[in-house]
Amino acid sequence: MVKKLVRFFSSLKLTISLLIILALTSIIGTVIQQQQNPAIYVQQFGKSTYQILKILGFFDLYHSWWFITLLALLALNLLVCSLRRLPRDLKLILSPKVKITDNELKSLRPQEKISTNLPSVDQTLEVVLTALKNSGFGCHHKVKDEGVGWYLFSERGKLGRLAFHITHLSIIIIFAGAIIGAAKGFKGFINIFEGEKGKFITLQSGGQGMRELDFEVECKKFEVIYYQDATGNPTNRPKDYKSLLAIHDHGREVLAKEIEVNSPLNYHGIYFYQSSFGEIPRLTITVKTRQGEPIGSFDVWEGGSFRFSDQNGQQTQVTLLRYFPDFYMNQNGQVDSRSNVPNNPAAFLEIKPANDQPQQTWVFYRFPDFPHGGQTDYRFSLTSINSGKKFTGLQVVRDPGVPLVWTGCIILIIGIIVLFSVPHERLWVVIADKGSGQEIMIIGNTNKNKPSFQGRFAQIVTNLKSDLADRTK
Amino acid sequence: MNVAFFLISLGCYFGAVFCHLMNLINQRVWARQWGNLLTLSGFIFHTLALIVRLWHSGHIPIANLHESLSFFGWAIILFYLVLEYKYRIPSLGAFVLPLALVFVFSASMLPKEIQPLIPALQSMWLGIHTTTSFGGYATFAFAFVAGIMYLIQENQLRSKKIGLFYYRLPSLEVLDDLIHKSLVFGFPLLTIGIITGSLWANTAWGSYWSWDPKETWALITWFIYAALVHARFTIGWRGRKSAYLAIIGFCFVLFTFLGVNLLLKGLHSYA
Repeated sequence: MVKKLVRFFSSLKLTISLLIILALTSIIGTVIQQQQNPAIYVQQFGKSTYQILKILGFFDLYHSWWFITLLALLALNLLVCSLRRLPRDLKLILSPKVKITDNELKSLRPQEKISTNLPSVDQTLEVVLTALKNSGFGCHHKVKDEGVGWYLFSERGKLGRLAFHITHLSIIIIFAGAIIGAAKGFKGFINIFEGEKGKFITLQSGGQGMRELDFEVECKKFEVIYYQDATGNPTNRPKDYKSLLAIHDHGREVLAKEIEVNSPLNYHGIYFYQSSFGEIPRLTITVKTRQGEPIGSFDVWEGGSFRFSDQNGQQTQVTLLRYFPDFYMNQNGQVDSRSNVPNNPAAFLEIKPANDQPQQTWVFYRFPDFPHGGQTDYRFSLTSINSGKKFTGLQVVRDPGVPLVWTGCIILIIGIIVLFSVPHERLWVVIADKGSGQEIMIIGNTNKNKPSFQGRFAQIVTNLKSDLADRTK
Repeated sequence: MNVAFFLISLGCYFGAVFCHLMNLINQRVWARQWGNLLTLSGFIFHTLALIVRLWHSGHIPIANLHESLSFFGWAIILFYLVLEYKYRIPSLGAFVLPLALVFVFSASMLPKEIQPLIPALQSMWLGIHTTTSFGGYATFAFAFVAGIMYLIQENQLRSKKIGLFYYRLPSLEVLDDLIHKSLVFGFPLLTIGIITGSLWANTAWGSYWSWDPKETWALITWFIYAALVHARFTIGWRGRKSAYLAIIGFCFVLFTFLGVNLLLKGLHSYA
């Protein structure tokens, strides 16, 4: 039973079937967009098809239980296959068989028999050893057998015999790294305004959860450089964007680094990658009293607020709740922005006097006379829209599996190159003393690229024959 | 300047393909010699075009569709010249050069201006990742062509009629060996291409594998060739089965290279 299982899991048919099944099923995930909002899928496929596809895991195919199972089977297949072959291959390179048996002699190819009438075995041995040395093989082991004569053995490319195991092991290492990353890592993003700090990461996988870092990240400066056109004016194609980040741990700045695309910041294994950027406009709100006496102008952005006080020292707080660059009423009668172009800028403000109920009001850039200020003692107007507050978009990743994945990748590259380019070649020579002369058997074996080896084998035989002929003269 | 060199090389390749096809039909030695001379001249101009382009743009010229098609064709021609110099496989040029011409010609139909690189592409990985990937693709093109030639030749042998191509195509052994060699070089190159791509993705996007369509299709192609390599080297699937798999494998290569960019959405959409 165990034997049957081992045979099943080490079978090459399983390997090839798994590779082809993995290839074909992976296609599905490139045709159906992955990890989208369910509403989009329902709209695309209809309710019932959606249910079926969801059960099949097609919307997050590469993380579905059956795809992971296929990958696990492949890993198991590699492992069992390698472990099954390993003892044999290790024996082959650690304790090579110098004294070749008659059975092996019959089965191994290429082989060649040469007769010589040199007077002594030792003379023949000397010629053979020189020939082997010149061929680049040399002689690694020689054993004298009183009954027969000499057994010689040499080999090249032992590593080639192990490359199979190295390559397969490297893939297991990569899988292990991926599992560690999935189990212990996280991936998310954070937008930080220039000059501000942040510590809450919006996670990308596993729902839309948040994660609080145990330190703060500050974006000290953010900068975009654009490509210039032929006349030297900037285009809208970014050439580079970079953020000067600082890490504040326990209230102390511990690290500062400028990051850009392809060059992240690492703090305690958490990496910050420059991923995007954006800007929210800065609005200027001018405040006057109901009678028209100016109080002041204040800069504010969406979500931000400002305060002012009247002559009695009473404070009023104004918050910019929403900003619409291109204000309009949509067909449902709701306010919305038609575009991001400031065609009809409008701001929705909340005004909270020190000891009164908050009130809300609209202000329009194009309609400064619109009654704005509600029941309060003040009048507000939107007097300018400035290019505003920049934020940097950071991808935040912790993946403790990465070193293991890279180790696996490097081993894989080395293993695969050795596997294809270093054959394990072995050469046996048996010199049998026949009394009046000797009989030399040369036997070769390689685990890959047989034609090339056969060519060199024939060359060795030809050279040896001529060396022997020279000596007999 | 680079465009002029590129167009001259395209002209040479047209001539080369014509000569090699003449050679296939008429078996004239001069046609083959002229074909190779034109291929070599085309290759020299093509190389100059790439160097000038590299000089002007400051990055390896494999950053948009025109550049990648052009480089793909260039790599195939390079490997062809090496094979022709070392092994002189009969009629190989007549089969592989038209394929290279298709890529170079398609490249010539696309906008050829040098475009500035978006920030994600400004990395030393651009050169390593693209050359190894396209090196792998170009190598597989030879397995594909050898597969087609194998099937034609075998078909003639089976029908026991000595057809038009019998003496003009290499023997089945030579073709099978060409498939073998392509896999031995192509599979490690594809592997390195995928690994360097994921290294790069990790420094640029913070994730070495995102199942982006391009990545996934490269992996699919890798699965297919891994299956082929195992079938060949371990069970000994030689000959016809190998030839079919080499042809199918290259269809996956083409989809990974072109199909993904033209039909699917993803992070590689600039290439």
